Amino acid sequence: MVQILIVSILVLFCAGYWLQRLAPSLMKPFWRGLALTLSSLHVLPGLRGKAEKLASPGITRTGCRGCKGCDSKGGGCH
Amino acid sequence: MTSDKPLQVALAGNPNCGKTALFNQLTGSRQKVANYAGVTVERKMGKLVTPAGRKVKILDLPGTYSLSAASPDEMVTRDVCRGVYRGEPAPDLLISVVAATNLRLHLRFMLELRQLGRPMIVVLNMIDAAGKQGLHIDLKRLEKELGLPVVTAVGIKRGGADNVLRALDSPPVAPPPPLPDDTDLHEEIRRIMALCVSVHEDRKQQLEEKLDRWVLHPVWGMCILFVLLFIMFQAVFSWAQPVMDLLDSIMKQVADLTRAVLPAGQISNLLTDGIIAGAGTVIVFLPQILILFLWILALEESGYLPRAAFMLDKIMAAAGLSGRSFIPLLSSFACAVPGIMATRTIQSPRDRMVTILIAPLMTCSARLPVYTLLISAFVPSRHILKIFNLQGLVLFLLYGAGILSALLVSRLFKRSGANEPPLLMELPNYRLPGLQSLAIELWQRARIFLSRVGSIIVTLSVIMWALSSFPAPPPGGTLPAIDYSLAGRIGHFLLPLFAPLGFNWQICVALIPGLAAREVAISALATVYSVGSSEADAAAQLAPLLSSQWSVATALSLLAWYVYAPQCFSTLAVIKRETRSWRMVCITAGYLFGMAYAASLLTYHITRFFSG
Repeated sequence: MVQILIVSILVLFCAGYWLQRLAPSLMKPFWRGLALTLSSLHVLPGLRGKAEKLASPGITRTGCRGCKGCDSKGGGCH
Repeated sequence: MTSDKPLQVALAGNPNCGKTALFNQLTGSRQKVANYAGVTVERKMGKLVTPAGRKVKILDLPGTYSLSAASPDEMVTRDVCRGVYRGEPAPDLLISVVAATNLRLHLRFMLELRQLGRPMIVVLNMIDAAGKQGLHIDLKRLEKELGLPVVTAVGIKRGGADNVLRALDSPPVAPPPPLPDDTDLHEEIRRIMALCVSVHEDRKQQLEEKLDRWVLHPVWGMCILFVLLFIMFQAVFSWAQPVMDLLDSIMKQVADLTRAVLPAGQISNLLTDGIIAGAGTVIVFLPQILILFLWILALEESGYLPRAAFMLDKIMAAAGLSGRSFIPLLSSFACAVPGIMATRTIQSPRDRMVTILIAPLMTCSARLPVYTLLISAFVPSRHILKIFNLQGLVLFLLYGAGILSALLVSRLFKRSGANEPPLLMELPNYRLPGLQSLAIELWQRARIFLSRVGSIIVTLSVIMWALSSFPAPPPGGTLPAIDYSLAGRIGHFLLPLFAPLGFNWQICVALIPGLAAREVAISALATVYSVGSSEADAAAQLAPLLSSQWSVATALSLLAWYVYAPQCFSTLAVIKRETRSWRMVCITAGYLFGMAYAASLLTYHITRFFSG
């Protein structure tokens, strides 16, 4: 049972990762909810900041997003 | 001198004057640098603090020959320098980067910048190379003639930008009043050159001229290019094998160890059949990818690539392309994304669109694992004429097929196009590739590859494993368990579409995650075969497993598919961004899918016809 639970969490995490890459707008309610929850609990400020950033509209990303160099640094890593 | 408001500085100059190398030195960044023009196509921002504690925000701008911009990247430079770029404050200081080795050409743009009337510093970059060429520049006199501070720099050496840092601490100097509008800038440059520069031609210069007589020769030059590319693909197969075997055995041992340590169950299955089988199969190809990049980087640094572009200009012109398309197409061998971004240097919109359309036909490094796996499974490792490795030869032909197809497609798209302006290209000096910079670049490539494995491939492998493992077979099910899984059902659903190409349902399943990144097709095949196999090391032995289960016609058909394979999502996204058109995205995806399907169909049936 524990094994199934761990595997399910891992699979869900990977599915979320791909949903975020392919359709980030679908993940925005999740990030907004997470940011609100963390904010009301006053815990994990780093994660809260990240969640708020991902929930905010209009983040334009450049490059292939295959690595960090393609994202925040505006491409050029290849 | 300190200030809370950072000083806004913009680095501007001609293409290939070393702006990005200087930017990297000043900010500690690692933006892409190469010994040819047109590497930087969008502005890059960095921050630094001067020795006196002054905060500086610095912009690295695309290179341009003039403020009269013709291409999208040049417009960025023009607008930022004039202080009219949307969302970017006007720079407090311009740093005009000038290659000391090519003052006559680069001073012209510097004089244009001076006319803007903004505070400015002139940086004579590559001052060491100028000395080696026998150029002596009288800095004091140059400062006096330009009316601006002039400092020297060596952008590619550690500490080579110290003079620039010190100059940033000095109060900005306003330029002298602009020259009258009717001033002949070329005459002004000749005057400055005569006063400030003396030349003693040396042996290196003569040697470069001799070398260029061979390298740029219409016949010998093409032979040299062909031989260099041929050796490159031979090396990819011959040199990488020992390290690949080592990585392969390490992966097998890790899988065995995981199986031995963890109790039997879903976690053990996920780790061995999902993550290790999927990601491990792709990691093995790292040595080949690094060898390919080592060659490309060495050719890039040596200054050979722009000469290759010059050599290929006639062939490109026959296909309706200009030599300006060469660098974007070359970048696409690493990944189509930077290649498509690099098309911003192309002035003609039609030329640019055609280059974007054909960029995905260049064989990106993500296709290398697919090619290598199928070649090593189906092409015998034997030598022709005791020199050429047959597997390397097949790889060379696959790359050639991509290039040839790109030229044909371009010809088709451009048949009614207008005549393009001739290629004007500045040929850089030859340079011996530096071992340190090669090692840094290779390390960067390895990091990119491993980060892709750690993110894209591991997550997709986990999803593929879940799709291949669930739902479990019904009680009394007679087929293999994987046939009842979601992956099995998806594969069987797609089979009627791909069966005419000789694909089985496992290949159909692998094609879907292959759209995220092409090399994932290999990890997906490894996962599907691993989950479906009763043998413990099925994934570690993927190549022999495929050669025993697939026909040669199927393997060749899949190879043909990946020459044209509909490109990955990232490529489609960047095409949308660069063209701002869904139509272009649909045209690219549609024509590539059509070509891939037709090529696979033909390959499969012709091979079956000849092999009986």
